[in-house]
Amino acid sequence: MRRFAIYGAAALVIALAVWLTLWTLSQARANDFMMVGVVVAGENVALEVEDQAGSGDSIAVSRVLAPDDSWLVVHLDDDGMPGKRVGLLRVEEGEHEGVIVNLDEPVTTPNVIVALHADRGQRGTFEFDMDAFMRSPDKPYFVDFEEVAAAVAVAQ
Amino acid sequence: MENTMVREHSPDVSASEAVFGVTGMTCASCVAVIEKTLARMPGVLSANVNLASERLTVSYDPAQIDEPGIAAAVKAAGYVATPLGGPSSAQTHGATGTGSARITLGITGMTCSSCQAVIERTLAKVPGVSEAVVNLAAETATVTFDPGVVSVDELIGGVIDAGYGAVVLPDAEEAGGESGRDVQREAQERHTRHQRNLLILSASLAIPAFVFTMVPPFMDVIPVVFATWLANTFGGAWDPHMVMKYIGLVLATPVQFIAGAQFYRGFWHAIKQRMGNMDTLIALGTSAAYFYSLAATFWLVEEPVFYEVAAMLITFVIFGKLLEARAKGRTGDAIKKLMGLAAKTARVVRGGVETDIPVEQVAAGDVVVVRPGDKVPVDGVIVEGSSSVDESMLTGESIPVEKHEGDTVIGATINKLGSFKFRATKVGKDTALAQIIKLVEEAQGSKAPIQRFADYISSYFVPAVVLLAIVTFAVWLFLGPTLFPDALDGFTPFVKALLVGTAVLVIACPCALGLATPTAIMVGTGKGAENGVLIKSGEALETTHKTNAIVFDKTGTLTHGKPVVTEYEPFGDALGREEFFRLAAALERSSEHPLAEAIVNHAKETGVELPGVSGFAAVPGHGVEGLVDGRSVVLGNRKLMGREGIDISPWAARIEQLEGEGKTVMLTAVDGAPAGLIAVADTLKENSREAVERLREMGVEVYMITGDNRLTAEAIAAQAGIPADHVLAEVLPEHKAAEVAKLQGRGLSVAMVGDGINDTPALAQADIGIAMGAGTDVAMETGGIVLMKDDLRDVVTAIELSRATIRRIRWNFVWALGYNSLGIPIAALGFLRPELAGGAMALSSVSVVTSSLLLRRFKPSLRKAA
Repeated sequence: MRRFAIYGAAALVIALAVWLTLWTLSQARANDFMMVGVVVAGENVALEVEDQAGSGDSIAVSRVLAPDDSWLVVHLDDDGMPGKRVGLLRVEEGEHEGVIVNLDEPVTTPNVIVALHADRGQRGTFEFDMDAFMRSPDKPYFVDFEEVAAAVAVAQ
Repeated sequence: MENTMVREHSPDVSASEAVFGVTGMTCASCVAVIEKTLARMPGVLSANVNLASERLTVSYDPAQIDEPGIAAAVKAAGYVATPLGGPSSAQTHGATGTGSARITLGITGMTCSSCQAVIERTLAKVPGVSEAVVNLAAETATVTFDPGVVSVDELIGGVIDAGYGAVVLPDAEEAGGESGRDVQREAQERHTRHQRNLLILSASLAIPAFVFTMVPPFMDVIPVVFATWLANTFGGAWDPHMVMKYIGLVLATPVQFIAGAQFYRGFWHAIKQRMGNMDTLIALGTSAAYFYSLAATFWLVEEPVFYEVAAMLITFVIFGKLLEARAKGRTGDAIKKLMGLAAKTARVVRGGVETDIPVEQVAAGDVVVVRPGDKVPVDGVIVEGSSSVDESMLTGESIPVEKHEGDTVIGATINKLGSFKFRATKVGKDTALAQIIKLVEEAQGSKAPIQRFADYISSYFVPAVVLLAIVTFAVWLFLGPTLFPDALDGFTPFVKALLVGTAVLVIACPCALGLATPTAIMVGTGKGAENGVLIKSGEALETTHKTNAIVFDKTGTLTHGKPVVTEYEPFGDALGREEFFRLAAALERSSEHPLAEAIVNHAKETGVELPGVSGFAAVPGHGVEGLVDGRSVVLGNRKLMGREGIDISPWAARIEQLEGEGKTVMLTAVDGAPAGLIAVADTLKENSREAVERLREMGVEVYMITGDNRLTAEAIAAQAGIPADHVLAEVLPEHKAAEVAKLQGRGLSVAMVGDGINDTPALAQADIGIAMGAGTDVAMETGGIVLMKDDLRDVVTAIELSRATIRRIRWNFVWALGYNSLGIPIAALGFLRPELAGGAMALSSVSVVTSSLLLRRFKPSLRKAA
C-alpha cells in the first residue's frame, strides 16, 4: 500500500513536471515573455490617445488611468516598435484626463508611440534602459502580455 | 607504541601510565594541542591522544606529576580530560566508583568528529557526569554519571538540546548485543527518515526555485504568468522580475530555515566550543547566498538574487549525507552479521526437564541440549554425545569440526548431524561472540596512526577555508573587474565575488578526508572478523602492513605442540623391545613432562599395560628415575646417563641421526645397564609450509624461534621451508623478546606469532603480536591481532588484509585531497557555481566511502579447502 502511494506520488510529480514543461513551452512560443514589463489587470490601467492634429511639439493624452505613480513616454515610431524617446511626463497614481506631454524634439515620423511606464525605482527619476530591460525598475505596464501603449498618428 | 616511547624518553624512570577520556576535540589540531601541551609538562614522558576513541594515554613520572595535574593541564588547553584509570582498566572500566552508574546511549545526527566532540563536551558539562565517551563509528555515547545527581532523562535531554538524538541502549554486550542494537537501529532509522523527509521538503522547493529562476523558458514564462495571476487576483502592479525574486524567497526560506536548521544548530554548537566544522562552512555559504538575495529582493532591487544557490546547496548536502549514511551503514555490515549470529533461544535441562528459554537466561553451569541443525547458544564444554559443528561463521574454517565429550563448543556455531549436551561455561557478555563483537567494535572506533595525517590537514582546513574564501571574495571584488573583466558573467563585481567566495567555502569542506581512514578501518576489521582474524585496533591493522619479518614460535604455532612417539628401540638383546618400552612408559606415567605424556599416550594407544612405580623421583634438567617391578629404571637425556655412569657411546650415531630429524631422544637404563631409546617429535601443522612459502613470496623474512637444540630446530624449520640461518634455536622463553628486539635492531618491522600465553613478552616486544588459536578465549590481552584458530594461513590473511586496507586508505586520501586541491582552484577561478560545489562535495564523501566498501571484496589468497 505504502509502496503504491510512493509510486503514485512519484508518477504525479513526473506528470506535473511534464505538463508544466509542455505548457511553458507552448506559452513561450505564443508570447515574448522576455520583454514583459510591469503586469497589471486590465481594469486598473488605461491609456487613451487620439490622433494628433496639433503643432507637433506636444502630445495630448485624452485619458490615463495609472495603477501607481507612472511615466507617460512618447517614442518615435520605429517600424511599429518604440524608437527614440522624444517626450516624458510623470503622472501620479489615479485617473487623469487631457494630459499634455511636451516633446523634446520635433516628430520626424508619421506616428508616435505613447506608452505608460511604472515609476518604481528612485521616484521622480525615469530609470529605463531597453538594453538592460530586466534590471530597469521603470518598465512599461503590460496587460495580458500586451504593452499598455498606443500608436498615434501625428499631423506633420 | 607507548612502551617504546617511554624507554626512548627516559630509560631509568619508573613510569606510570594513565588513561583519560578527553572531550572537546574535533580534529587533529586538538590532538596536537593536547600532546604538545603535555609534552612540555615536567614529568610527562609521553602523551598519545586517539581522536576516534577520544582517549589520552599518558606515561609520566609519578614523582613529578599526578593524574589531576595532567587533567588540569589538558583543561588549561581548552579540553576536558577525565581519568579512566590504567590502560587495562580503560578497556574494562565497568566497575565504577561508589554512587556512579554507566549507561550507553545510541546517538543519531552526528556528521563528523566535531559532532562527537560537541556531544561529549555537552554531556561532560552536565552536573554529575564524570565521563562521556562518544564512539562516532558505533554512534554511541557511554556516560558515567552519579544517578543521585542527574537522571538518564536529563542526559538524553542534554544531547537533544545539543541538536542530536539519543536513546537508551541496553548493555550492548549482552547476548551479542542484539536488543541494544535494535534500539539503536530504530533510532538511526528514525534519524534517516527525518533526513529523508527534510530532503523531500528541500528538493520539492529547491528544484522549482532553481527551474523557475534559472532555466529558460521557465524563468521567462513562470514569473510573468504568476505576475499576471497576482495582478488579476489581487490588483496592483507586479514586475515579473521582482515576482521571480519573491518566488525564490518563498521557496528558499523553508529550505534555509527548516531543512537547513541543522547546519545552523551545528554551527552554533561548534561556535560555542570555539570550533569549526562542516556545519560552519555550509551555514556560512548558504547564509551568504540567502541573505544577500534577501537584500537584493527588498533593498538592492536592481541586483540579481541567488536563492536557488542556497536551497540547492542544502538539498545536495542533505542528499549527500543520506547517501553517505547508507554507504557508511554498509561498512558496519560485518558487525551486524556477527550480531545476527547470536542464538535467540536455548534448550536447557532444568529439574530434569528440557525447557526452551531465551538465551539471555542461560546461566553458566546449565546443561544445554543441542539437536541436529541447532545453533549452539552459548560457549561450553560437551558432557554427552558428539557431533560435527560448523564454526565457519566465527573462524572462517569451512570444514565442520568434530566435537566429542570434553571438547569446547562456541556459541553461535551450528551443529550439523549429531546431538549433544554441553555445560555452559560462558554466557552473556562473556561468550566468544560477544567478545568478538566488542573487540571489533573497539577496533572500528580506534584510530590508526595514518589518520593523524588526515586529522592534521583537517584541523587547519576550516579556518583556512574561511580565510581563503574571504581572500577570494576580496580579490574578485577589487581586482576582478581588472583581472578578469570577461569572467564576471554580467554580474557586478560584488555579486561575482560573493558567488565565487561561497563556492570556495563549500568545495573545500574536508568531509571526504575525514572519512578516508575510519571507513576503511571499519571495513577492514570487519572483514578480518569474518575470516577469523580479530584485529584489535586501527594501529594494529596499520602496523601489520609494514611487516617485513615474521617470527614464528615453534611449539604450538608451527607445530601441533603435542609430541608423539615416533620410534622406540632397545639397546641390545638384554630386554625385549616391548618390555623396555613397558618399563619406561610405566615410569613416565608419574611424570608431568609433556614428553612423558606422549609416551604414556602411546602406551595407552597400543594397549600396553603399565605396572606400578615406587620411589619415583624427577631429576631436574635430566629426567626421571624409580622402581618398576622391582627394577631400577632411569629415563632421561645424555646428562642423566652420564650421571648414572652409563655408557651409550655405541648408540651415539643412531641418537644423533634421530636428533637430526628433529626428534627428541630419551634414553633408558634398567638396573644400571643401557636399555633403549625412545624418540619423540612434535609434528608440523598441515598448513605451516604453505603459509611460510606464501609469506616468503610476499617478501617477508620468516624466522622460527624455539628453546629446542639447533639440530632439532633446523630439522623442523627445514620441513616448514624456513632456511637454517633463520632459525633462532636454544632460546629460553625469557630471551625470546630479546631475539625479536635484535631483529628490530636491524631495521625490520617484526611480527611475532605465538600462542599468546608463553610468548607474551615476545608478542609485546614485536611491532605486531599475533596470538593464535584463541578459540573461545578471544579476549586474550596479548597481541594486536588474535587468530580464532590454529591455522598459520590466517597470518598471511592478516598481513594481506592490512596491506589491502592501507592501500585503500592511501587511495582514499588521493581521492579526497585530489578533489579538494582540484576543486578549490576551479571554484576560486569562478568556474564552479556554489550549488554545484555542494553537490561535488557531497559526492566526494560518497565516493570515498564507496571506495572503502570495495574492501569488502577482499579474499585471502590462501583459500581454505572447501
